Amino acid sequence: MIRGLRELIASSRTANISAPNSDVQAEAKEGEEEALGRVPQLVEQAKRGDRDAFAELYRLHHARIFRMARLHLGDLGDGAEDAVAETFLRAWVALPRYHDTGAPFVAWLFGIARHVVLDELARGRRVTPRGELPERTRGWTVDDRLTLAQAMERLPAEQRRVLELKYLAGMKNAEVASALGKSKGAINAMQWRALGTLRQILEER
Amino acid sequence: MNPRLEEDLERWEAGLASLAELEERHPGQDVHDLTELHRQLTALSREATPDPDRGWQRLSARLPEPEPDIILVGPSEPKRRQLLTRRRVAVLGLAAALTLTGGLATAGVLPDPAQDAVANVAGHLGLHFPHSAEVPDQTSHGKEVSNIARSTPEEGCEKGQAISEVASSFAQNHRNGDPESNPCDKAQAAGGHSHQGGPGSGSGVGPAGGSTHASGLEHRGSHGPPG
Repeated sequence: MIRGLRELIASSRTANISAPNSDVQAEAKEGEEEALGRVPQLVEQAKRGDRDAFAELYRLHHARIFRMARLHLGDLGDGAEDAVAETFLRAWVALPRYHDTGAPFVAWLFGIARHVVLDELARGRRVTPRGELPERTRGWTVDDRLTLAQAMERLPAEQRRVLELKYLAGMKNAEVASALGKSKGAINAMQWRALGTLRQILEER
Repeated sequence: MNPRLEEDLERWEAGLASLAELEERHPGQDVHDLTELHRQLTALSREATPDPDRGWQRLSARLPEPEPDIILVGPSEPKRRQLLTRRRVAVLGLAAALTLTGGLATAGVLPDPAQDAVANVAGHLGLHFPHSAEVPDQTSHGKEVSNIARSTPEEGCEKGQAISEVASSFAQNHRNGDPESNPCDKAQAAGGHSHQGGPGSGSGVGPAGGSTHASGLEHRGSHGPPG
């Protein structure tokens, strides 16, 4: 499977990359940004039992939690979708005890999602990549994701959290810094250090 | 990874530096692989995901009804009431203990260590309670009065007066009457019922003795210390 990642990296060597493409640097759409700005208010309403507010929170965060679950569980069947549902179910029950510490709400959801994923893995879900799966030329396959997930598990916990929050939750470095109680500069450095370690782990496989 | 490379990668991510520039500044650092891994992971975060509305429809049916107790931030009402009751009992108990101890300490009847402890604590609070050294030994006081009654050569009003003086010696400072006045003189002046008048003046143990005795009692009753 690592072959897939290596191929992806190798193929990109041939491309003339002079600067990060604009879509990588582009932030979330304006509408989504606006909606995310309402999250603290929605959280307060949901804490009081407002289902509509919680539904809005679900819609805003579904994709991020889904990606995280899919990375670890693969996307065969409804595994990732079930994990998302379980994550939000636990969040609904735990929400009255939630205290806004200034960190993004998604970081709290990710903490729950991680427990859900670990529970799923403990149930014996398939997590071993199968090299014989048909490969495609671009994008991530199930095995790519599982390999990446396993490699990320070998990272120091703090580095793994930085990559999860940045690349799966789609948080900006300043938000990751807020969630982990560190400076933005520290997160920037940690991000690249984590990528360097991750690359080494993937190379070893 | 050296800090200089981390800074340059950060600038590259922000669009402030080109990859070629980074590769030139950091030869042999696999800058390309790092940036490519970053690109792949970013692409991972942009992959399509299922429609959230479908998932919400399934989930909303499973959500339990919120319980009012869970929503409360502070302790629930019965707990708060219970807490207040416990506090009230504790405060009342403390007040009762302080009152009792204070009363006993004022009377000076606590054991010496306890008396001193209470006097010290009260002193800090600006209250005056006597220390054990300041409290007269009242257990021997009764014996002293009894001895005087038995051994004094005085008779009649004078005997009563002598006994009275010893009995009320604790309250000397509180006497309101004239210390120089002699009740036996007054009694004599009033009717001559004094045993000092000699055998010819009466039975000797008649009304005058009773009067003196009563005077002693009255004196002790109004000014004398307990016991």
